[in-house]
Amino acid sequence: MKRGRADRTLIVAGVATIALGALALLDQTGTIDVRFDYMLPAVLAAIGVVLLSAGLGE
Amino acid sequence: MPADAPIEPKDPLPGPGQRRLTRSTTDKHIAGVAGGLGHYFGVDPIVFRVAFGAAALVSGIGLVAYIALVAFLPSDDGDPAWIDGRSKVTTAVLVGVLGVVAISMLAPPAFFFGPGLLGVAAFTALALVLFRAFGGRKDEDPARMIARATLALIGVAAALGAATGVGLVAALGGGPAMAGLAIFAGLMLITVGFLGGPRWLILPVTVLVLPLAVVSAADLDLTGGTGEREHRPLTVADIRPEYRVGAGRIEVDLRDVTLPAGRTEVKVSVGAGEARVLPPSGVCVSTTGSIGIGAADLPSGTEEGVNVPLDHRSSASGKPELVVDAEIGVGHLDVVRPLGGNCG
Repeated sequence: MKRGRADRTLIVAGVATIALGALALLDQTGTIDVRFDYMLPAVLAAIGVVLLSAGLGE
Repeated sequence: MPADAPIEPKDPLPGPGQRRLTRSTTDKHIAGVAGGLGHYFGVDPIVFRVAFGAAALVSGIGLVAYIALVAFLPSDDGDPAWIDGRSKVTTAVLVGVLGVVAISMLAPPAFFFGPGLLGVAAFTALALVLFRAFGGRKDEDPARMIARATLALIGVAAALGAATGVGLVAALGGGPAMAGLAIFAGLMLITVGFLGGPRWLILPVTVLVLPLAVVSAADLDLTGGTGEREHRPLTVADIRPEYRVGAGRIEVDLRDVTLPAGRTEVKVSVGAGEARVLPPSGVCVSTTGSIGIGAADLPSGTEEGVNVPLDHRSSASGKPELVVDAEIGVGHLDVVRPLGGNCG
């Protein structure tokens, strides 16, 4: 990691975290009903995007 | 190469005191794995051949183990292992594929697609990331490696403890707050990312988000107390609007109740644990609701897995109909088949 420069991986991880957090918030407040069928791919996709970002940044 | 040609070792063989596990080139039927194992352990290779064959027939795991050993063992004539010299990506992919196949063969099919495998993968990934985060390298001094691995293990234990805590808070009604915290943590990651901060911050955020995702997806709700509860209403008027336990076991015995004609609904909610419903005799039992993770024994059959729907409508045929509306986060539902029923 290069200090002082924007870290794309952290930014992408932040966006993915916000997306998953929003999904969980909507489920917890009863707005939508998130099941494993949707949450599992969403989590895996988020992990994949972060890993891709880290890999492309090397 | 002719069979009688002298073999020139490419990698000098170890001396008498330095035993090394290799694939045999002289005692082989397929790839020399059993021969090499027999030589290494000083037993007849037929023992390993039978073991591999039996394990392959019983669960297929013998085949996976054999392929893994073919890939990772060097040959006794000095040929390096197939994996030697391959890229890290190839090694990681091979180990991952073999691990997934092995686990799926050892465990029930639901484990492969369910949270079990995800848990194993998450634990392994977390251990590896922590090992690297503590400065570990695969070619370093063994003592330092063990020290770093111990630190990583402690880190994994702390992370699992924290994840359990987050999951409990979310399941006990703090879900919206935890989700809000996750969104805030995401914003902080973005801010830190723009400032070029450390990447290890992703780890604590992961510990926050993953259990929250599991609790949300499983509809895990531990409110309602814990323990073992038994309810035995005597009349329809005694039936409560809902029978609930956060974590534990609940039994609703309706065998003394005479149901009126038409539908009578019983709602049962369990966060984590087991629910058992005993219907009166001579009624048709329908079920509705769902199980986040677990299994259900219903009059209509057995269901298990992740997000198990419980919707089964029994054709009434003039008999009273009992509708069991069950919401189980993680656990088991047992609806006993009524005497004189069910109605198909």
